[in-house]
Amino acid sequence: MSGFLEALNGRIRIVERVGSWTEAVRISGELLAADGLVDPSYVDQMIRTCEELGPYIAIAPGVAIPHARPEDGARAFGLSIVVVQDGVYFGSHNDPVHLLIAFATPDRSAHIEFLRQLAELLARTDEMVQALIRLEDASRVQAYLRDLLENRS
Amino acid sequence: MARKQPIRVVAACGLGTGTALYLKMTVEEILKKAGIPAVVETADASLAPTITADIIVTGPDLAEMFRQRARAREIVAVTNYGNRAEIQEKLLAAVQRLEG
Repeated sequence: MSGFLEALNGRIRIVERVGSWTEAVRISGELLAADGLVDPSYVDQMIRTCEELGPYIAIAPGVAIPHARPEDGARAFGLSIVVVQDGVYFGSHNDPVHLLIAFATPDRSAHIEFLRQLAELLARTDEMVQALIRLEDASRVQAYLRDLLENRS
Repeated sequence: MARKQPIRVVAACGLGTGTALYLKMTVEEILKKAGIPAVVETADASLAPTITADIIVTGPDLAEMFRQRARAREIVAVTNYGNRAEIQEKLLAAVQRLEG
């Protein structure tokens, strides 16, 4: 079992704006690649998946979860977060996206606990997104998420 | 009618690892709570032509593709995965249509 914050391990980037959704997804993927959790090909595949299948990774208002397949170059389980303060458009009914939670998983079960905790966070999507876009540094984002996960009802 | 057959639900997404698994967990909880026997599996877009199910649960961006390529009596398109009430309402409505 791997907790959300342990899996995140400080990989948080806050940006004011990005040029496109591909740039936002690439930032989230490069955070994973920089720590050796994924091969560079995984990052390319995260983008290609959306190009081919559409913006279905925007799963809640303001939130997207970029990922690719285990076999696309995922070496270990881990997460990264990108907060786009001005928002970015994926062409989804859940636009604008402000929060990207990217993940890599080397098999199809290592991330079950993560998905459970994601459900808890998404149950409070609106308040979470509104709070996160006002935070100016990564440690505060981490502290905010910790509070949300620990004070779950 | 005596004991009902479990309904067959497929939670589907693009790759089968993220949103499909997420939906499967939520759908199982909702159906269990509602006392509806069901078998819930996951699938990805590439498997669409092989799917035969009573209900496919997916997102609106993929719903039309699954409607065309998969065989399912009902397609449930969830717009906000964080909104359990939405998932429950749409899913149980689809179950009712199956029975009706």
